[in-house]
Order: sequence, then structure tokens, then C-alpha cells
Amino acid sequence: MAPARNASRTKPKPSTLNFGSKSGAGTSKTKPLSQVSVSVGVDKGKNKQVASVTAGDDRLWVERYRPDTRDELAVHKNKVEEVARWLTEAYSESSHGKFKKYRRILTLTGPSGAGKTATIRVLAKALDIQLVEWKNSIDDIHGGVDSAIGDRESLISKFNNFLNRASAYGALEFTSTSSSASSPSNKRLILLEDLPNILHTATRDAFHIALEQFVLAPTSTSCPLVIIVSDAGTRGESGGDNGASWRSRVNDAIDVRMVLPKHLQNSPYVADITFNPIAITYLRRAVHSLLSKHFASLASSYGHNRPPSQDFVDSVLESSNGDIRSVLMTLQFATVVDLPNTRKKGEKAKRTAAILQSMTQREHSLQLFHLLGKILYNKRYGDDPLDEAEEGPMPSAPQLPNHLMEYYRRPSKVDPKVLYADSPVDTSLMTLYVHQNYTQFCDEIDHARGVCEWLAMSDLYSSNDMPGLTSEYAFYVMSAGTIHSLPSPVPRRSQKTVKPEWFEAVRKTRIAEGQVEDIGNRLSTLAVVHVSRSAIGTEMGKILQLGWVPDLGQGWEKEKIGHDAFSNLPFDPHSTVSHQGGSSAPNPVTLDEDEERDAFDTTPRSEPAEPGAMPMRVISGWFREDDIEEY
Amino acid sequence: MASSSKATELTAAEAYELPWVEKYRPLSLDDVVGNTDTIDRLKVIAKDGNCPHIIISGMPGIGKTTSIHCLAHALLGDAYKEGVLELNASDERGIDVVRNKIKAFAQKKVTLPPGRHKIVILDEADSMTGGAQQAMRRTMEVYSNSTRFALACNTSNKIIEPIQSRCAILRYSKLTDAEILKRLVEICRIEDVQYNDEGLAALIFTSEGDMRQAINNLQSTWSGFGFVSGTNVFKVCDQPHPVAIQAIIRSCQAGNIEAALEKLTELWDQGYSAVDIVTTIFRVVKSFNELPEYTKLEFIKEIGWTHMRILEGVGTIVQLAGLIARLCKFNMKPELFQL
Repeated sequence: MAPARNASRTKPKPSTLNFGSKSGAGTSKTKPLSQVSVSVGVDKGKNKQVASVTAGDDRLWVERYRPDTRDELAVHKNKVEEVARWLTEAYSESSHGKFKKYRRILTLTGPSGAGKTATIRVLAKALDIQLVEWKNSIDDIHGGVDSAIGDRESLISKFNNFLNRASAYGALEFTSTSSSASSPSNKRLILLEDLPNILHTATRDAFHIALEQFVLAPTSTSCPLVIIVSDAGTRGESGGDNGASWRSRVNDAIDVRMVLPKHLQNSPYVADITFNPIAITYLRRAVHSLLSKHFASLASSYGHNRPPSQDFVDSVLESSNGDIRSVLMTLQFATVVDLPNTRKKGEKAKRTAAILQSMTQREHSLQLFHLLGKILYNKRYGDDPLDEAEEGPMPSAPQLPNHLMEYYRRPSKVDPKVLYADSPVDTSLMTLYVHQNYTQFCDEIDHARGVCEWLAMSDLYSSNDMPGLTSEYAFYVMSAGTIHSLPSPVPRRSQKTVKPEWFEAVRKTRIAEGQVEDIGNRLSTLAVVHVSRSAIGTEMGKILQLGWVPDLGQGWEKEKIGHDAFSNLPFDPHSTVSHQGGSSAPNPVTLDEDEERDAFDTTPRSEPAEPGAMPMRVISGWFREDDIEEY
Repeated sequence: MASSSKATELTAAEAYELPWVEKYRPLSLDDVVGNTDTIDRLKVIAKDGNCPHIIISGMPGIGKTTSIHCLAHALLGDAYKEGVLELNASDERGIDVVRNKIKAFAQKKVTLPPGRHKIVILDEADSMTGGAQQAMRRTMEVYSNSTRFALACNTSNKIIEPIQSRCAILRYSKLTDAEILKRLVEICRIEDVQYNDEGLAALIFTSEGDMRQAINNLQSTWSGFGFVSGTNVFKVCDQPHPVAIQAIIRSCQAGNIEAALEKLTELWDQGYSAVDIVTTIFRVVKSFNELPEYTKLEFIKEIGWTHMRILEGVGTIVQLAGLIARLCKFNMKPELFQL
């Protein structure tokens, strides 16, 4: 903290010291700017050529290298096939044409950057379908924000009209049409990506009504609808500062349950296809072909920009969570300057690491696992006598009084203060990660007890009204307490640090809660006795498993309601989430695992029964009187 | 890093003085302190254009907003006025604004050289509601041909996933003491400030890596006292002098409760509030090398508790004295307390 300068007193105030003339602030403000741009241009002249090249095509990579054909898609083949099948069925007139009636709404869900939109666009092109896309328009008349004059069409009624018109009068050209095919085809598909503000209850209700009407429109004059909803979970689920705020934040997130009206959710008219994060093999293939394409086009003009090294690309891929868009954004930004390929070898690795660190991509990123490793590996001076030569002698530490000697530890190499400054996420999320992983690093129950105790203590600091003001205590107590309680040296048994299961648990909870609610609604429509949520959750599971469905008569007859998320919960002591890598193990995500997950994981929304009847899973059910045979 | 030649031109003696934070705000990326790797890239982007969507995250006062402004100025030059839409937490940024204002801006035609785009600057983006962020994501995509977004925030996990996915995320790390010191010394030289080393050390201590606060405190001390010394800085910042706090902690470690309480009362009588005192105790303890690891941990635990009680409204000297007593007891032999 001591300043480097040792002049204890500066020179006495000079009598006059005029910096510049008395130019007005206005002119001098612009001056430095122009100077800058000139001087920079001269500085690194060789980069000037880049400007001329990129000027030709200044789109983002994400736009520029958008996939055009099915082969270019980085999405799992089965997933593409599923979507393609739905689309074909929706337009088919042949013997399977009976399905057509039910292929009204398709929702594509999944994390962002999993290729949902890209898949639809590519398939639409391949199948010669014209995409009609809804875009929330701004007010046509005023364009401004503040001038709200009486008789303008509200956004939602515009949306309503849009759907009606798109359904009824196919030939018209709409104001918000964007035709992707150059030659207009008679097969049309409505694409909804930019949803009206469904967080607003009135708007949501109107939106739901619009969808319900749409579903019932006759297929002969109408066309199918695709809604794309990306998971936006993290904001609501970032570790939960406390129970209350967590609840309120969850409602911020938009998910399928909110987009679709309640009784459409399980109806046969709606199919849901969930996309998984892109498996790393697919990701790598796509990125490499893109990079070679990109740099081939650059190299033809001059040979100065080199593609980034394999290691660099790999580490970006690993930390991406299967989000291809994020990978491309990071790479585009990173390759703006030559990556340190030419430098000396030892330095290179260090520099690459530094660059990566400064560009932490996502929350569950290298940086986070790096910090986690620092805490959990608990490195101290004197861990290994051989190291002493490199790191110098153990710094002398002040002594504890005698009665506390059992708490003595060799001086730590980790400084919680620095960790706090470096942490890319808030304290509660970091605590969640430590909590998920600490047991692997403990030898005795006492170690675990110690860590637990400190974690609990740390949690208490976030329990007041202003967690922001005490979050540094929480972080310090969490990290320093963990470090102090872990054994030293920590045993190395190739521990893998993983993402907290908490997220998965919350996801499952939400699904289960939704199903309980569905069944509750159904029961209350039946007007039997009121059954409380907890009764449904704890006692009705067996009945539902036997296949009992509340009989509503009429159209709802045999429509199935999902209940698997809460009616059948096998005890599994070894459940671990295995899809996040750690900092210590460089390549923990095994590819097979990921692809397998991709192929088999997603359970259909409304088709839990009839095991093995279908060659591929059938997306949704149908009504009994439709006389559709299983094939 | 900081070359102050440009800033110098602004220093023409003025009747009223600008806050130095504004006066010495870097105007070009070359002047932005710290985070060299990231800023090097921003510089190339500033020159070549085609700026991707970016999110800059990091602690307050480390140059997030400044770098975005510098970038926008370098990219757009004279067109800055038409080409930039800036919204911060004090502007209304609900769904309506995102839908209308930002979208209208994105649709606006502005003639820019090739490779240049309009820029939407969203400062403190983590304070935007989830709904507003949702409404924004399509706009980011549809108009990316003509408009790029630059977001600044403290922690990126308050930004919803779909937006993170569309941006290159840059994380600024905390400025080192040396980087802040260098800038302070420069300003002192230009402004002809009289200072001593303790004064600068005190500025760095009180600012905790926040450049803005360091410069503000420098200016307040200079205009208030005419000399930047340690004591003056702590007076201006209205914080107890860390040396006094250190003395308290040392007494606690020695188990000398009378001496510790006496010093505490002294501070209290000088008029420092309980929050001031407890905050400074925390700052001192966490970087106090005379404490063993375990002692430090237990001390911080106790300080945290007291801090919470004070935040809940009991800012009395009794709470502080209780804290001191607990800290003292910690290092005393347990036998002493047996009946």
C-alpha cells in the first residue's frame, strides 16, 4: 500500500504554471478526439488493411455464417429430424394427413444458442415453406414514447389481427411479413419469436385467447405456428438471496407454461420439442469449419491474421455450455487482435490464459471454476517441501495463543480479498458451487463439519434486508472458513468440480409444481371436492400412475396429463449432475455422454404411456374418436 | 496507459472547477487505466469498426462506462450525437422504453462510414427488469446490421441468459494499487497538489480499488485542506484513522480490554458513527498481517455480526463495545473465565 514515490513532499507551488492557453472547454473537448484517431492510425499501420476487408462485410459472425443447409446445422440429427417430421406432417395431405389437424402449434424450447431458430429457418428453406414472422412493431403513428393519443391500435390487437389474417387470407401481403424464400410458396409458417409482453397479465390473457382461436381455425385455410422460447432461467435462479425474492424473481422468467394458455399446454394441438445445449463434438466441427472458411477468405488477400490456436478454441468451447452463439461472439472478439501465437512459448500459455480470463464468457465459466479450485485445493506454504525452492521460504506468521493451537494452519497461498475482487458471480452463487463440491475434498467428518458450519454462517450474512452491504462478509467467511476447515494438504484423487445440482432440482420442482397445478385445475373443473396441492402431490401419485384420468367428457376425454415429475420419484443416492467441467480436470465433459443425453433424455410432454409403441417418439396425443392407428 | 497530454488542455484556470473525475475522465481508450488485454482489443475495434455486442462487467469505478464512451467516440467521432443512444438506471427503462425508444433508435437511419454502427449504451444494465431484457433480445438480433449494444453492469449474472448469449462478455478486474497511484500522482502533478506519501496511501486505502472515489477524495482533501496528508484524507472521508483502529485491534489481540475500549470511546467522542467505525474495523482487519489466519476469520465473523446489527438500526456504542469485548475474549485463556 505504500506509494512507490518516496518524495515526502513535492516541490513548492510554482508561481505560474499555465497548461495550454485559455481555450474554451467546448473546443478543447473535441480536439483530443481527432488527435487520437489520427495517432492510432499511424501507430499500427499494418492493421489498416483489415479495415478495408471487414468493411466489405461488417456483419457479426453469427449473421454472416448462419447455416444454410441441414448439414451445416450443429444440432443433433435426431432433433432436426423431429422438427422436420412435425413440419412434414403439418403440410402432408397423404395417408398420415390425419395428423395435420393436430400440427397447429409447435414450441421449441431450450437454452439460448442451441440452434432453435437456425433449425426452423434451415428446414423452412429446405421444405420450401415461407416463414411469416411476427415482430412487435413500434407505434406506427407517432413512433415516440410519450405521446399516447387515444385511438391507436394496441399491440395486442395488432397481434390478434395478424394471426387472424395470416390464418384466413393467406395471399395477402402483411406489413410485418418477412418472406425468407425468394419465390413465394403457398406453404406458410408463422414464426413467433418476439412475443408480446406476456409478463403483463392483461396482455397475456389476450395473447392466450388469440392462440386458442388460432388453434381452432380450420386447417384448410390456416397454417401452423411455431413459437420459440429460450430458457431465461439464470436471472431468477442465481442462487436465491432468500426465499421471498427468489419467488418473485421466478415470475420474471418467461417459459412455455406462461406462453401457452393452460388448457392448450397438454392438448394434442400443441407439441413441444426441447433443444439441448449443443454437444461439444458438433460444436467443434461447426466452429472449425467456420474458422477455416473465415480465415481462408482473409488469407487470400494478405497473410497476417492467423486463426486462433487449437487450445484457445478448445477452452472457449469448453466454457461455452453448448451455446454456439456465445462461442462465435467470443471468438470474433478474441481474434480481432492476433492471438499470441508468435510469442515465446512459456509466455504464450500465460497470455492466452490472461486473455481468456479477461473475457469470461458465461457465469459457469473457466474463471468461476478457477476460483473454485483455488478455494477447494487449499494450497498452503510447505505443502510440498520440493516446492520451497521456487516459492521461497514460508512467510513467518503470527502465533495463535496456546489454547487455540489446534486451529493453527500453515500460511495460506490464497487471499480471500483477491478472490472477492475476482469473483465473476455474486456471493450466493459462489457459495452454491462450494457447497456442491466440498465433500470430495474432505478426509474426515470433522473437515466437512467445519466447512458446513462456515457455509451456514456465511448464509446468515445474506439474511438481512440489505444483503448487498454484507455480501463481502459472506464471501470472506465462506472462502476463508472453507480454506481453514479443509485438510491440508488436500488429498489429490482427481476430483471433478461440477455445477450445482440445485439448478436441476429447481427445474424439476417447477415442472412438478406445474403438473400438480394442472391436475388441481382439472379436479376443480370436475367440481369434486377441493383437493389441496399437497394432497395431490403426496397422495394421488399412485392413482395417477394406474392410469386414472379425471373424466371431463366431451373433447377433453382422454387427454392425458403429465404427472411423472412428482408421482414417481425413485430414491437415487448417487445422482450427480455430470455436465460441467472443472478447472482441474481439463476435459471432463465426455462426448458420448452428451450425445446420449441429446438423443434420449427429453421426455415427451404428454406421452408417458405406451412404451415402445413408436419407432421414434410421437410428439403428442390425439383424441380417441379420430381413429388414428398407431403404426 | 495514462498519458495526460490531452487532459492538460482542459486545465485552463477556470472560475469554477469541474469535478476532477470529469475533468480527468479519459477521452480515448489509450488513457483508460488497467485491463490492458481487453482494452487492446477494444482499441483495434475502435479503429477497424464492426464492434460486436459487448457486456462489460466489474466493480464500480474501474472504467467500464468510460471505456464504452471512449469506444463510442472513437468509432463514431462527430456522428456521436446521432449515433449513440445512452440509457442508464436513472432513465426509464421498462418494457415500453425498450420497445419504443430503443427500437425507434435502431430503426433510425444515420449515415455512417462502412464498418460503423449506431451504438446503444445501457449503463447499469443489471438493474433492468427481466421483462425489459426479454423485450430487448430480439431487437439486438434483428437490427444487428445497423445497431450494436454495449452494456455495463456490476455482475453479469443479473443479465438474462439469452442476452449473454448474444454478447461478447468482458470482465474488468479490479485496478491495482499501483495503477491508481500512478494516476493520482499524475493528477497531483498537473493540478499542482501538495501531498505526502501517507496521503496517497490513505487515498488508496479509502478507495478500495475504485478510481472514481480515489480522485473524488483527492479533490475534496485538496480543496478542503490545501494539503493531502493521511490525517486530512481520513478527515475528509469522515472515516476513523486506520492507525487508531489498528491500535484497537492490537489491544484486543493482547486481551487488553481497557485500552481497547478507551480508544473506542475516543473515536466515538469524535463523532464517528457506528457504521463508520465498524466498516473501518473490517477494512483494517481483512488486510492486517499481524493476525493469524484463524483469528482473522473469527474476528471477521464477529465484525460481520455487529455490522448486521448496526445496519438493522442499533448503531450504539454498546454494540461496538460488545464487539470489542468478544474480540478480546477470543484471545484470552479460557481458564480465566471459569468460575
